[in-house]
Amino acid sequence: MNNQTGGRIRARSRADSRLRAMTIGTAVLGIAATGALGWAAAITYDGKTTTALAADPGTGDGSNAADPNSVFPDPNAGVTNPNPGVTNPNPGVTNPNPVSGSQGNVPTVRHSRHAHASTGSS
Amino acid sequence: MLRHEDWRALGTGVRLIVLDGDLDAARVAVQQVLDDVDRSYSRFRDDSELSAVNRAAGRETSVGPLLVRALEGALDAARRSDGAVDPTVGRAMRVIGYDGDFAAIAGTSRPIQLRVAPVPGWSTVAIDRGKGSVRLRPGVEIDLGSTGKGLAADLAAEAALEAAGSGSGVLVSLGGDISTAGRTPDGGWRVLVAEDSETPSDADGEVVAIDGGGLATSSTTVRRWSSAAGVSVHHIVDPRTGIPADAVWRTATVVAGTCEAANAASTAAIVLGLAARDWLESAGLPARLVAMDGSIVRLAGWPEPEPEPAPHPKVAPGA
Repeated sequence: MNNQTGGRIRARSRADSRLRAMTIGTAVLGIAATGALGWAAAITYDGKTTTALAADPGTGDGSNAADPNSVFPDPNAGVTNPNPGVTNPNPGVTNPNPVSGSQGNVPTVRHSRHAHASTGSS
Repeated sequence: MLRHEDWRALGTGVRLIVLDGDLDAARVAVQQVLDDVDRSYSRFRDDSELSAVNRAAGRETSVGPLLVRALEGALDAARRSDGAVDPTVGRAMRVIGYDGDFAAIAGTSRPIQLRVAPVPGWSTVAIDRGKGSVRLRPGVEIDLGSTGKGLAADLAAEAALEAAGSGSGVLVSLGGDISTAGRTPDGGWRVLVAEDSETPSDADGEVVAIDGGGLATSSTTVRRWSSAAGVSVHHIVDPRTGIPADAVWRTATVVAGTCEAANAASTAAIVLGLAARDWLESAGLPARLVAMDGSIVRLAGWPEPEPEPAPHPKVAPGA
């Protein structure tokens, strides 16, 4: 074994070590990521199945799909589901964009005088 | 320049205000929308599309795009309020006696049999937008009271703006459910918040201004009637029980991006009772709730009233 060969062997040994370190690191990272995803899935899954809303087997056009830009949030407060068999598709999740989109932005309200019109029940 | 016109339609008062536009053309456009709405989804007309759907007892019924749009809005409101508003309250409304134009039923004293039972639920409504058809389960009846008037105001405002001409602005009020479109007058569209929408706009009271969107009020004190047994009922049904909601709030006024959304939210607030506070805050919908004792709760950006100017100190004669 000459010096050149010895150098190659040392270089290869170093390369092997780096490769092993990278492989182990990647594996550890993968295991950690899998665990994290599993944890996230576990805490967000409520154990209930989701039934299509206003289901019509013949429709299939998505017309009843939830509108993420609807003006209403998902309240989940104080009201029980009045529809047995239909579960809330987003338990515990508030609409991230409750007031924009197709339903327009909620205007700012300020006090004023001399009204143009009246609101009240009719 | 602002010009306005008042008239009655759909059993309620209509106010149209036009900023720098053709008022006459705008009125024609608004009335056309209201006529279309009446033919499409009035529960009190036997020949409306909605009445045909309610009579169909499980059969698929062909309907026009306006009713499809109205039903989709009602289902969206039901889903987003977790069923606090639900269009399948139609049968319950009929059972408690609200089965005609309110002016016609307010003076009657028929026996009412209140039956506590959840309404069928909005998931029982099947809409096929492609075919333009609707199917309900047998026994299910639709009432669009929590969204229909607001949607009508929105559609009327859009039509009025188009008719009034470019550069104009409009406000349409249908019985106090208000939608705006186009330009806004200096200082915004200013609205008196009252219990009854028939209150003149120059009456004393809290006035707020908005620069767009819509505003609606629901109440448990207006549209009340009594049964022969003396039971007083109001017109907002709690879908969980099928009977009028517990009256925690006298009125709920809500501002939203559209009048349809404000209409649904104000109705949901009445049904939710105390839980309405958290719900409206989480929705970011400015609201003014008046409790039964008259105390007022302002939420989610609804401003506190400006303090009254201090009275001038009395000066003793001769001082």
